Amino acid sequence: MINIKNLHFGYKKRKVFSGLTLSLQPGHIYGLLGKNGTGKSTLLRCIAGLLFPREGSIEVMGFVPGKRNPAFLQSVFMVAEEFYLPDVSVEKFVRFNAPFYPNFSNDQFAQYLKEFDIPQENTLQSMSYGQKKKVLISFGLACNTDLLLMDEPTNGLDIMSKSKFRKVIAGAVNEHKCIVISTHQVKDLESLIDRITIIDDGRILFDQTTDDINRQIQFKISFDHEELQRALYHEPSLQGNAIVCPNNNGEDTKLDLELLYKAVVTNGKAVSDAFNKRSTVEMNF
Amino acid sequence: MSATFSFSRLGKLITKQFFENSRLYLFSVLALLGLMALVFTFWILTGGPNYQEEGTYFIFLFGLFLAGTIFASMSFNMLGSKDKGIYWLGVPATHLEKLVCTIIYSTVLFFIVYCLCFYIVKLIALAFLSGYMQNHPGTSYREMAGFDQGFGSILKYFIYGYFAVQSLYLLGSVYFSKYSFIISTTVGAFIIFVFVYYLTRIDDIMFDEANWELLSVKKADVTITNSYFLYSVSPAIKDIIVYAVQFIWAPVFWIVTWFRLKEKEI
Repeated sequence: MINIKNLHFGYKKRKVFSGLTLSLQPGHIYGLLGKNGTGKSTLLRCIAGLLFPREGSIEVMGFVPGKRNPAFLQSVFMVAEEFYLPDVSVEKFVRFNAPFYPNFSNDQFAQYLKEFDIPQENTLQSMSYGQKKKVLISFGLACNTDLLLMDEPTNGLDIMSKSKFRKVIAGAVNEHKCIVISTHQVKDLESLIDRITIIDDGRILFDQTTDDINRQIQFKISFDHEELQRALYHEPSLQGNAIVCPNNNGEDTKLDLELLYKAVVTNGKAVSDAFNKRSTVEMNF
Repeated sequence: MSATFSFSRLGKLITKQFFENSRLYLFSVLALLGLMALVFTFWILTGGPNYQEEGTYFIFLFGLFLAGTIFASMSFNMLGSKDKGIYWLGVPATHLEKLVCTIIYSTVLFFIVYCLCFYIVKLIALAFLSGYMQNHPGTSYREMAGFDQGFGSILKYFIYGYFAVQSLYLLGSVYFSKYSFIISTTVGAFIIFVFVYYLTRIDDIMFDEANWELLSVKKADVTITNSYFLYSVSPAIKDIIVYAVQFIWAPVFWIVTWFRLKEKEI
């Protein structure tokens, strides 16, 4: 669905990507993680056709995003971190924007608004940031575009709304749809994302499905000094030491995205080796 | 689905633009009516005792250029900020449709609404003036001779100029995301200054002893009294150049704006 080859991009004084290659498939919810300024939002804007590659190519559903072809734009919806909504009522916003999206469903939109508990009689500008964001998320989902790009979607949402967000996103994905979520709030999306891509210094540091991660890496609390030494990453916690280690015995543990992220960023080579070693063993077997 | 232009999408864009900005448009029209009423009041107070209709058309032109260029400078202000730019560029329509929609609002509809406001205020002002003149003997009002003579005959060139200037400010609003009006005015003034400067220099250097009128040169014949040599481009070429100078600017600026929109990044 999305093929990025040898992407080079930079702003006037700062290089962001130099040779990034990435492929995203439909039917998945991708989590795009990375430090501030590593280019997560830039990548989303390149995919949406708002920024153009300086070198390399991006192809999304057979379109070159930068051409901003209407057929492409009606297949993509972006929930930006900094977003704008006009000063009209929710009803008017939908009436004049929905006709641009052929698969828009009024019923779905009403259902999402109900789910998020949004009062429809208010104008958008009189709503709080969180309410506006929920309207935008609801609209984006109801557009039923094949690609949904979300930049920090849970920023500004209250605890209940974050939980509802996970629920509606999980219900929205299907085999034709690809959802890419860029976030720092990894805890909010732990149970939602099924493929994790970590960007660092403009390159892909880590790109694995949650199934593979669970198969090959363990997240647990340990008091064993030797285990700590062997761990890919460890940090003290209230219960003991939270560790990330290779899953040598096929034990099923709960994915901790925050720990995984820290392990990849601080000890990327070892994490990568753990995956490669495991893959090699599986192949030999 | 057309990847270049669709009237259906243009219709949707026009409707969307109107309803999303209806409050702004309403307040702008009210402000325009209020300002015109003020200017006409000033004209009635100071334009007497012999009022001339030409005076109202000076007001018309001054307001048209000032308000028009300010309005045109705001045409693409959505592209000046990231959040609004993403919203605007993300709408599933082509750049051409978005440009045409903007031209319709900033140039065509603005002109129609401005003319309507002007004639409404002028009508009220003249009705008031008529009553005022009955109570003040010695005051008079002279109508303009017509649109085919005197000031009326050159009015159309100002209207052509309006479309050219309006399209320049439209282009400026894509290029300069902040202080578009001021920067466009400065750039426009600079271009005019350079143009006039070079014309003067060319006149000084090349036509020192002749009278240069852009498309023709008159040089006195020293051998015969009151006679001169006339060097001119052919009438056909002259007509083409004059026609182009009158009408070419707006389309040229619109095309450049379209290219600029296509390469706009947010």
